[in-house]
Amino acid sequence: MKRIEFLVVLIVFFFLQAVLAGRMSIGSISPDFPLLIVVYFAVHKNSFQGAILGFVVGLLQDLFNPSFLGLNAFTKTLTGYGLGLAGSKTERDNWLFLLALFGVAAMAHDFVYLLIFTGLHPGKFFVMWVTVSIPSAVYTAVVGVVVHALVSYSATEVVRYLGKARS
Amino acid sequence: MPFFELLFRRHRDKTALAILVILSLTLMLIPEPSKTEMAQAMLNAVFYPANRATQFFEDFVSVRRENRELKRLVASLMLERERLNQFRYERERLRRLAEFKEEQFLKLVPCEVIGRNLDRFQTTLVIDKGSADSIRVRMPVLSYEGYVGRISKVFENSAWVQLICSRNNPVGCLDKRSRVVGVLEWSHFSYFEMRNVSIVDDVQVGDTLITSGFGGVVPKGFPVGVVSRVSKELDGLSLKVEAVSDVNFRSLEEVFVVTDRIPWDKAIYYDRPDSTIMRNLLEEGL
Repeated sequence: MKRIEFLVVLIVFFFLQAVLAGRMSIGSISPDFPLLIVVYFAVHKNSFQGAILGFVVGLLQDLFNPSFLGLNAFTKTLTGYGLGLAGSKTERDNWLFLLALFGVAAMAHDFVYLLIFTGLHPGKFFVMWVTVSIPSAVYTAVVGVVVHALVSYSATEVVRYLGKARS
Repeated sequence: MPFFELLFRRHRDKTALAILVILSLTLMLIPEPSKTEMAQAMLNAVFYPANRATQFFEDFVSVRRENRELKRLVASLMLERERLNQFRYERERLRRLAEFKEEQFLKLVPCEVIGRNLDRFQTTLVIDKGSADSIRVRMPVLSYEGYVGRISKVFENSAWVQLICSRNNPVGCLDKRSRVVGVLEWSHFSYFEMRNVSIVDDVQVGDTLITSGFGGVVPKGFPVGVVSRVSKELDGLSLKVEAVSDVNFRSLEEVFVVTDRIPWDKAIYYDRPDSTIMRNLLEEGL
């Protein structure tokens, strides 16, 4: 993917996070669009690019919460790297597999995030993990699959349109 | 250079991971003021224009309806203010007679929330007023529902608000009914814990907690939560008081910064009964 395309996708996902995530939230449960972009690109690229992308996306998120600057960068770097390693072994177009992948990645990400965020406080960690992280992971996974379907459908239509225009 | 080749060619993914992890951990460990400075510099460059544009479109959709409702509200408040003026004059006379200490009123600067951190566990807001509007660090920030936080960083045309739903922002509070004093600390979501409450203190479920005003930074009397549960601490000497806030910190759109305190008798902002705006409002009818 060219850098400019990547930049556009990045901006689109952050726009989605800023505008849509709040509106789509159910209480404290909302989809994590920046995590989706990391997961999606990490499995389609490799661990090197996954780690870099995770760091950039996480750092951009951290800018809005400088008290914990570096926390999202740290967790998303690990997520990107891990999924990049697994990337070649995954069935990237199987929606059921993607659903599980997005969900597990979101839970793993939040697990590390909450450990540091709560200062290893077991009570707060457990409450947030059960009431926010797990439902958010399910929500993120469902949204991820829908976005994937929309992107695939749009890409197919664009290719078909361009093919018709040429002929 | 076989060592570098090994690092940056054969194991470049592991090298990148190590560098990025070290970088992230370093960012987490650097002091808070430096973090804020770094984040603000990058945020201003990248997100501020996008945030403003997004906010503009969001506002545009609802501005007409909101304007009509606000006009109605202002008109009713104008009339209410006239009625209260009568009580104010009377109160002033009585206070002078009783030689009470002069009370002070708050000068509020209304601000719009133009950004918030994108985190689900958010703690900060960005508002559209800064040092150019006399905003200073540590000034208290209120919403319609009560006290929400304090200014943590000020720039020329924007400022950051550290919300009370942060681990590092406790606030002195007291029970409105029994006047028991404590310190309110964030627990999780909209839940708080009131600390330093003795076993003999009278705190009950349903009591409203208000800011204590001790220290002179946070104004006294603004609601911060309602007691949701009271239980004994393990030490047997103190109470564990849990409270829930009415403020929905995730959907704050307008807040007010307390920039100054002004004498009660000078706290008149719209005292122009012959003004065009008031005449129009009254003519339009409530």
